[in-house]
Amino acid sequence: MRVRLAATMLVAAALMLAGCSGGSGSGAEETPTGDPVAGGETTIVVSGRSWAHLDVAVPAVTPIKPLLNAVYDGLLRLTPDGEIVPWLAASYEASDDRLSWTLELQPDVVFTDGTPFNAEAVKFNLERQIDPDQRAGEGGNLPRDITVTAVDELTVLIGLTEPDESLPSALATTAVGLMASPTAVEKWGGEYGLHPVGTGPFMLESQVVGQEAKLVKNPDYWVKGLPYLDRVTYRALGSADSALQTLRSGGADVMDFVAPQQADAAKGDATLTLVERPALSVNEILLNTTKPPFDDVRARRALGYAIDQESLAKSLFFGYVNPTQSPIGSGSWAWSGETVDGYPAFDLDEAKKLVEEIGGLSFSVKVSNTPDYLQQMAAVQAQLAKAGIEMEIDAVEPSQKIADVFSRNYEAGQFIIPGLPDPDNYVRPFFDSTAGANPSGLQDPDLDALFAQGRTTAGVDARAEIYKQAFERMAEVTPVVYLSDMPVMRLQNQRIQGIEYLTTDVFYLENAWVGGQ
Amino acid sequence: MSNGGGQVHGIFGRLPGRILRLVSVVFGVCLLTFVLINALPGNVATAVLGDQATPEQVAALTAQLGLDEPIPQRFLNWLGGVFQGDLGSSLVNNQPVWDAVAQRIPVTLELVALALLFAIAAAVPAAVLAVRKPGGVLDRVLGGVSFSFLATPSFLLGLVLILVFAIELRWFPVSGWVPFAQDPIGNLETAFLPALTLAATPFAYFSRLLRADMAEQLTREDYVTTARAKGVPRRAILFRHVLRNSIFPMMTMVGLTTSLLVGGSVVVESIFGVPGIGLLLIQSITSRDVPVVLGVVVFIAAAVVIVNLIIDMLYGVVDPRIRHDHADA
Repeated sequence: MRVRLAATMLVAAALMLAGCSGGSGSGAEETPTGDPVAGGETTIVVSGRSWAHLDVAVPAVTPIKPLLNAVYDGLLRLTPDGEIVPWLAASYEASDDRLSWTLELQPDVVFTDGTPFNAEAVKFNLERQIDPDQRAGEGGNLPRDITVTAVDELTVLIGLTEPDESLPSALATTAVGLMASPTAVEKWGGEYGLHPVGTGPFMLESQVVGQEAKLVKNPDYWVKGLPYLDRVTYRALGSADSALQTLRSGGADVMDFVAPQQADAAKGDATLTLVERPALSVNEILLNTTKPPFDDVRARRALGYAIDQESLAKSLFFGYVNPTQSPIGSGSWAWSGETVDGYPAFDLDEAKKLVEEIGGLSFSVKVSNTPDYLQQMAAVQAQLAKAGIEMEIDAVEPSQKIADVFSRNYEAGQFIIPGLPDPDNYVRPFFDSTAGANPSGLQDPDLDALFAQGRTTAGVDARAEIYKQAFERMAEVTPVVYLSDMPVMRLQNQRIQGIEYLTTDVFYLENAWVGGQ
Repeated sequence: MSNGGGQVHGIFGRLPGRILRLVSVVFGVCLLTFVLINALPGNVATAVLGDQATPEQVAALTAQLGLDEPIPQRFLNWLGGVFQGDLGSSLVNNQPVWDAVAQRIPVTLELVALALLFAIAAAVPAAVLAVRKPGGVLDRVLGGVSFSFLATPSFLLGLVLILVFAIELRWFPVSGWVPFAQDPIGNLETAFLPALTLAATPFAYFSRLLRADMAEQLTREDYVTTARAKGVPRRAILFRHVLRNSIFPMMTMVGLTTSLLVGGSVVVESIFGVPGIGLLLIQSITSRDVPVVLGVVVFIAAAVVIVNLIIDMLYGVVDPRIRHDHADA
């Protein structure tokens, strides 16, 4: 017995040693320990996404948010724990009537082109985001009628016409809070996105647009002693496999936007760590409630009843996702639990009954024409068929899908919208008939009222309670059915430490450092 | 092609006509590309505006970018710019098309040139070895290798090469690109596997073609029989006579293959993360960025046409008969 235990421990120790020293010949997998060290460089790879520019205030703001957040600092910040904290704004506070917000700015912050960061710069940036002539980007996350006043060098007053409790979240989690150098914006005009200047920990040194961005340390970063790294290279690869292999070979330290398939493929690799955060995004089928067949709530609910999310999570997503009944994932403070009262969760008999009641159901769904989406929809198609629902898959270019759905030229459309923690930014624009694009075409005064209440009521707990009701109302009227939640996952090796990964698609690099130099 | 000139100044005398043809080919390709990309559903406005765009925003941006003008008008506008040396700017980020293309074209050209070099360097000895004993073991093995290269899609071959040479042996990086000017050795390291992947198909073409042509000459051509009767060693016949004659059809093949390689580099660049013109083309087609697509196409078309022009002229250098033909005419 004792001998066996000793032997087991020996083997275990040997395995651990092997694990630690594995591949150390290349120097890529040495685990750094102790305090952060300055210097060194890192490479981050991604597949399936790229960027056209690094401007914060134009349409299609780059889907590569970590790049933006390396070059730019936000007024506020989301922490890995999901809290909103001051950043370039050293403090922020709402007036008693919640109609004006005062931001006190960090002193002695300078853009990397030498332009001082001050109240005027904040005013310039926020007004640029709401400028109707400016091609709208994420600016929609700010009320269009805000007024921005530079009270003094370091004090900014944001005036509202009605309370907007999602304002801090918009400033912390979307591109509207990121501060660009007014001098650079004016100097470059339309080409500014190729020459971005912020106050962030890194500066863009050179790029091949959409493929490779080389960043160098901002030597005058306002947070003293940071960043640790001298250089960061961000590369977009054409295939997820080559991104994963690059990571495995030590050619990169981090792989961003890891799909369940790659997460599963990397499972056996002890040198890689899968960074999982609670999901904000949901994988959903948006339904057009303005025309047949989904102008009938029974047809919409039949769809929900026919979808077996548990089975999808296992067979399609390797268990890296969870079933969901709310339009926002468990990473949000507004998430109201695994089940939502009134949601038509999987129940084949109920689905069949409804289909029979309405005399059959067939429709076409718009799907982005990439293999993984098509595969997902094929699985859903098979599930729906069991309930007697006929779904035709209409594979289109992503841009075409977006255009069709937002002009309500569709019956159903599959979406995974990049997640944000505040439902006012993430959910409301899709379903509120009084605001936003409302592609669902839903006209539900109860839901509109709840969204308005959620937007204007102060206090996280009170708002969470309102959104619980809103999600229940959504479950009942069912303008959307869910396939799963969809967390942002990343893979990294043990060489790099200190990256702050958020629940959104952002991570911060200024505390990152590498060992084994 | 080789006999139809009728010009007295030899191969260079026909140059103006050739260049005129070159220009018209490039023009035709551009026109076709323009029509095709505008026939695709969606436009740059929907691609640019993204998830939360309203139909009004799409309409406004479409008008702002001049996309509501009729297609012929837009093509003429573009053409007018080109004649003034202006390829226009990206509709997505305003980067001048010339900048975007110039940054990436050397990368793709290097890949294509290296791939051709690899393919030729491997195909010539392979063909010579194979033809020494037609139907022998070596011939059959090399034939099998060639056909398996032809049958293997480049994304598969690329991944296999990555697994073996980059993951297992760690001789080369999995992906990425180091510019030649920055680090020549590093540049070759990053270019090696993509170029090798790209070289597989042309290697198969070249070696098969060369082998077949040499085999035919060895059995049929009178000069071979004569040489052998005179006691010239087989090796000398192979290299000095047969190979030299067979190089001629292979050159035609090299010219034709160049266009295939530029197309093939789209896939290879994507696998190896090489910042070349192929990835730019894919991205700009996806975002319906018409000026960039056209800019890339102009360069690809021009490159292919120029290579074929050069090869046409090289015929005369390799095969004196062509020069004589024209002198006679």
